[in-house]
Amino acid sequence: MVLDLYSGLYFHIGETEKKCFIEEIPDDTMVIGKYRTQLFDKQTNSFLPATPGLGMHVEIKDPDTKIILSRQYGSDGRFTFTSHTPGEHQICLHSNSSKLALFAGGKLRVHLDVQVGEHTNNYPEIAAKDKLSELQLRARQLLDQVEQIQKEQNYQRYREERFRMTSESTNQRVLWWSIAQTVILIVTGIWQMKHLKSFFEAKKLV
Amino acid sequence: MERLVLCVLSVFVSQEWFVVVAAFTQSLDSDFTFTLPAGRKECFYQTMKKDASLEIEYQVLDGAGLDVDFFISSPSGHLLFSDHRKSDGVHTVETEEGDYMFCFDNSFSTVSDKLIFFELILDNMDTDEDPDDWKEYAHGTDFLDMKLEDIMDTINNVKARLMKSVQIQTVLRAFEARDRNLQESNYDRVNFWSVVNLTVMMVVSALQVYLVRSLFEDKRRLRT
Repeated sequence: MVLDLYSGLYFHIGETEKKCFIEEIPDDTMVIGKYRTQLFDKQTNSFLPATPGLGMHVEIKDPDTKIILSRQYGSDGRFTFTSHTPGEHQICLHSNSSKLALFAGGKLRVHLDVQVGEHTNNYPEIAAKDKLSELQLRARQLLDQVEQIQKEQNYQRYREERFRMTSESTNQRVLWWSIAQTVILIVTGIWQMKHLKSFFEAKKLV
Repeated sequence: MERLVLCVLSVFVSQEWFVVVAAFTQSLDSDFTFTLPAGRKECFYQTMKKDASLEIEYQVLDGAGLDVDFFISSPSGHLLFSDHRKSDGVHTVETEEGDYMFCFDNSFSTVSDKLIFFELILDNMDTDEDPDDWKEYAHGTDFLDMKLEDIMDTINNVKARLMKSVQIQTVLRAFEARDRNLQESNYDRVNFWSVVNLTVMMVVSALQVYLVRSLFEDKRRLRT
């Protein structure tokens, strides 16, 4: 059963380069990331499949920029985390090559696949554990999908509320600052006039 | 035996990329959000099969000007689409076999980083479906096979629509993120420039008074 699992999206990464992706997710959501690396071989002018000794360092930060996962994986890796706070999580990858010679002048090709929420469920496992028939399994999958959509909607509602608060706060500040500036201008003008008048009077010019 | 199960399970977990559960839907999608530094170009590649379709939708979520260059080229190197300084775009490509390359270019900007979101929707990716795979893992028997077909069709229908909902949600989320970033930078700008304005006013008024006074000080000395 030879399957080309990651026949999907890939990109190139330099030796010390760090590539980061942002995932905006609701809380209590599981995220599974899988990557596969290939190294460019100058001799054959193609990308070699798996290169041992070439690892990737994965670092995941939560919305408060606190690091929730920081681990070294091999040339093929799989990382998982579950969000505890809703918001923008950052997934960063950079290569940690132990053999610099391999990299010299070459590029590393990284195939990446990130799955969020309902897509992380392992249905054969669920079928086996709960002893479901095929129909039940499909219904369960639909339920999971709908649940994920609902979670996303709730998160969006919370985000929209914060957005509205920021907008209203900005509007208010613009209004108050304008009024304050006008008042200050008038007060400063009056002060200037008064001060200069008393100054000229003191100097017996008027 | 265990290796076979593991192999099969790992196929299942990557269901986005290898649709073994093909009976449900053949649409695959993935989305990514990343920061494109100023003056840089980032390229991504997607392996496609013949006669599939690739839809790419991108948006600039943050970064002064909210614009980026974008182009997509076929496996043979042909430039298929090219956008110059757009803030969002959608392109659909009927694909041939090979790796398609699409790039985001922020070279025209020297200071501002762009936050870019893109979504790939792939259709008709699998040419060899196997619709009954889940039967191997499910337990029990289903009676009334003919009714079952109808139910299965409805379920597939619902699943396809739900996936569409998820895609739309993803896009809406990107729009909201962009608007939110815009608002937050407005807020910061308002605060900053108000304080600057206030300081300038104070300084200028004090300076004016001082200058006027100093003019008259000199004259006074001249008279005596």
